[in-house]
Amino acid sequence: MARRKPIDRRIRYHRRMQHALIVEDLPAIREWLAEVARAAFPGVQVTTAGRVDQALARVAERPFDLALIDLGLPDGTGLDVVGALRHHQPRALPVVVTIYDDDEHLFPALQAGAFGYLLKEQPQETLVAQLLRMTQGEPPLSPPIARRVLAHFANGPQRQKTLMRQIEDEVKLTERETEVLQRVAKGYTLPEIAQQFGLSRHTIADHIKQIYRKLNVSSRAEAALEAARRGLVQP
Amino acid sequence: MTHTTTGHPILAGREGRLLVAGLVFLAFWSILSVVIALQEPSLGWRFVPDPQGQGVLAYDPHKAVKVAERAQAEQRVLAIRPAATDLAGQAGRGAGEIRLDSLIAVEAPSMLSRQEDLDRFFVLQNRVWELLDGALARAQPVEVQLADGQWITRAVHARQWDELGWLYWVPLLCGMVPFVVGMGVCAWRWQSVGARFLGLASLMAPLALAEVAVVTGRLWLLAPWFAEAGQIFVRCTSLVAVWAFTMMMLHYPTPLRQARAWTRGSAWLLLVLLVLNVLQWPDHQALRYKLWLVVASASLIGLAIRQSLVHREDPVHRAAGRWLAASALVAFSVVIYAFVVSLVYDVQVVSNSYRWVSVPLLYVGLMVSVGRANLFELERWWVPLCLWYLGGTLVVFTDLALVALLRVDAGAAITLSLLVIGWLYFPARQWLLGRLRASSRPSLSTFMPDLIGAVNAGLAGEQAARQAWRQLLARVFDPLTMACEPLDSAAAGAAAPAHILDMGRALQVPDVGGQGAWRLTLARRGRQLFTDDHVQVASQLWQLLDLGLSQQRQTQAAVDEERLRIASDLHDDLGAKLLGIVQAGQADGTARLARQALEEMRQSVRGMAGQPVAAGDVLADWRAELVSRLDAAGFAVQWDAQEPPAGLILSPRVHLQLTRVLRESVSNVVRHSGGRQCRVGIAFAGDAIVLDVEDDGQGLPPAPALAAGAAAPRAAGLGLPNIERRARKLGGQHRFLVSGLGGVRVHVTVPLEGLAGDGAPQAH
Repeated sequence: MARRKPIDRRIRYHRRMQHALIVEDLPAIREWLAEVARAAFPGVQVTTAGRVDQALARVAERPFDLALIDLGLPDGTGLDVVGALRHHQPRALPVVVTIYDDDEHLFPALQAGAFGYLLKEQPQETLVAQLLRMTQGEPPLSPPIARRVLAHFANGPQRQKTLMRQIEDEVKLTERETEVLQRVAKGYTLPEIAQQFGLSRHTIADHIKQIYRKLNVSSRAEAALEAARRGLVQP
Repeated sequence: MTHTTTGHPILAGREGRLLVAGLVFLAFWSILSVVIALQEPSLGWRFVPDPQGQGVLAYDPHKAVKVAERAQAEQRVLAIRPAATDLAGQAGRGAGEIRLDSLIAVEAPSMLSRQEDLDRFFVLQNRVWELLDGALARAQPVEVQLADGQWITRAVHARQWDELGWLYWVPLLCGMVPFVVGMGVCAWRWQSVGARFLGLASLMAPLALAEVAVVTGRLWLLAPWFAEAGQIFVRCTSLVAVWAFTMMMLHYPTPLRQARAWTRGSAWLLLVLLVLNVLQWPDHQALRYKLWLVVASASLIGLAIRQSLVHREDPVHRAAGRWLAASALVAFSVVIYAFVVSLVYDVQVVSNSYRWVSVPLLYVGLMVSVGRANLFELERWWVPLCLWYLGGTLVVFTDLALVALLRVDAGAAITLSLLVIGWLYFPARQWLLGRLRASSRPSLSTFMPDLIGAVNAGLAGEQAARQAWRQLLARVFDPLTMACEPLDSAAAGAAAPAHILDMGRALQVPDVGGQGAWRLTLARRGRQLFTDDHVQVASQLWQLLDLGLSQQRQTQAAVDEERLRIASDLHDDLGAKLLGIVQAGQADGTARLARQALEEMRQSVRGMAGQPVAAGDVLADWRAELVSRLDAAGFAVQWDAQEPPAGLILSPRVHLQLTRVLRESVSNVVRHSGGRQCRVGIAFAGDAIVLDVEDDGQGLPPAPALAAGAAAPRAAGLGLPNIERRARKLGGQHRFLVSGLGGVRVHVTVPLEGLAGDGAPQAH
């Protein structure tokens, strides 16, 4: 494999969380999430929003380093906020915080560009630990998600080759990334896979981050193509 | 000729060119024949020989039918001579007088078996033609001598269009029909050698019958140049035709052994015979013509029998043979009828002309048989056709019997026979027809209970419905073989309705789910071809089944939607409240309880709204979850999972319950065993899935306490009653044993039928 440039600098060199955005409609939970953020990153400045439109307004106002975003909001879905952050603030780290733990919610969140996925009912210390691990570069990956990512790339980007020359290479999984996904899909844990490949756990985590980035790029490209096809925007 | 075909899509290609060429040829040949016929000089009479009397009988040429009695003749003519002129004397008259032998008007000179008769015929024909032609050229009348010896003057004119009569047109048409049919079959099935020989034979039909039309349709004379040449021509074409028929039988439906060598050899023989006939040597025409007709006809019949023996197992060939036999029967019946009618009614002459009608009739059979057009239709019409034929024959023969045996007046006889047949035969025929139809046609109402069963089977999943549909098709049509073929992805979208394939050999019926189609071969254990009746029944069955299944699907979709709504409500309302308790109860310990409640709720909802999952994926999920947990708790994990049977699917409920069993077992290991090792085994033994979770920890409390089940607080604390409950819910068994590792072994066996409830896709 050709040597690639360092993956996702955003995360590797972005340790200091100065501004966090909390998007959650229930005030009590909102407050509690703010506590989680402060506990994980002491001294972090927290901005809160209870609705999608508020959140989008906050995103337009100022840059964030971290965003904890609930999915079910009164005026829409948190995925819109994830997408906006991905688009306008690529350096921000969007994390979905939800009560749903199923793949049906997780996969679209990853496609939208979410980097992490936290379950609300977990004890505060667990959330803090997960948040810290995530910012150090270990995104979650379950077998069902691996299967879905594989399926996505199996019949996704190839289909658009002629239309998407410029991002074709960017959204194609490398051989190693595919191997990692295949092993995750078979139920192997990340340490096991690292051992099988004779690689460090961090390298495997890097692969997964790269996979997520490609998933998001490919999903956005698909969405753009779909929009173009429907005549919503000029291609 | 070919320029007419360019740019015309229907007439494009070899078939088009062949057809156009054929039609142009036909028009040319017919015009030629008419021109020759119109050259004959006419006295305004048509002459017919009278074997029992002198001279020839004269009839009105416009009289259509030649089935005429002697009494209806206008005149009897004994002799002919040029009209008296000033220049010609009595002696001259006597010299120009020609006595008319009955022979001169014989319908077909080919019927004259003796060469001397034939010679006399030609001589007489030529003399009379010369006389009439000369008179016509000089615009003079001629005189004919009537039966009473008196001479009357009769004007000569060129034959009129309306003097051609039916006797001319019938053979001509009878030659055209086979030609068109034969060319069509030949062009359509060019790849079949038999069809090509049929084409050759049918090319001979207009050639020969145009000559026959001129000869039999003539008033009485043949042009001198035509008389002999026409004979030779018609013999040659007949030889070619009978050869072509024999070759067709040799090659159709499939070439017999050494067909090629036989074809080549007989072609050379044919060529020699043609040359001999042209040269008119040897003198005896039986040797160069009739003998070979007999030989060829015998070979034809022999080959036909041989072919039918070779192919008696194949219903398509059998149907083709039936068509041929049916039309041959009808065609020969026409000849026989004509013969019997003339015999019974004591009609003097029945024209040969009408027997040519049998030729096109025969060709209907050939067309269907060799052309293979909707052969299976005969399967349906076979019985009515036979009964129809029987009815017609009965009428004819009753009528004839009444006339011949009881001397009943002809008019009364036909009335009587119609009445008798009408009252007696037709009701019997109706009854017979009804019985035969009932036995040969599958009836929808008979299979209603099975159909309802198939629809109900749909409740147990698509696989079960497919199975039931298969059984239903097998029962209704009783096919020799049936196979399910996957449809192309392109064709799968619009499932083709039931239709007949391979000339009735196979019936294609859609399969449940639209992914494939059933191909049934040969109805009723190979005894029948599929007909439109079968298609109709199959379509009706399919429509009813499809309707039933789609209603079930709608119901299922409605149920699913409702479950999703409930699941979503539970998440949003109950989930949010529980979350509140989790947050609020951090201090007094209710948080843990609420968290558990939330997890339970989530799992139940997942089981409710979940989809069936492939067993392979389930195993991967279990591995990822359990190994990570055990790993995180510091256990050395041994994961022994067998590959699940190919295509095994777990229903959401089974998936959920087994997941919980494993989760609780592993929780026990982590929390209570105190060990360092854990082995998780998943095996598929026979029709069951076997789960094993064992550790090297401190083991279970003493057996009596365990036997008391939930009463023992230790066992309850381990969540063992839960494991028991879940195993029993799935119809399985559980055992808590001592592990080989030293600790506890939880052993759960759950029957695979329960797992395979939605069915492993069956290999077709």
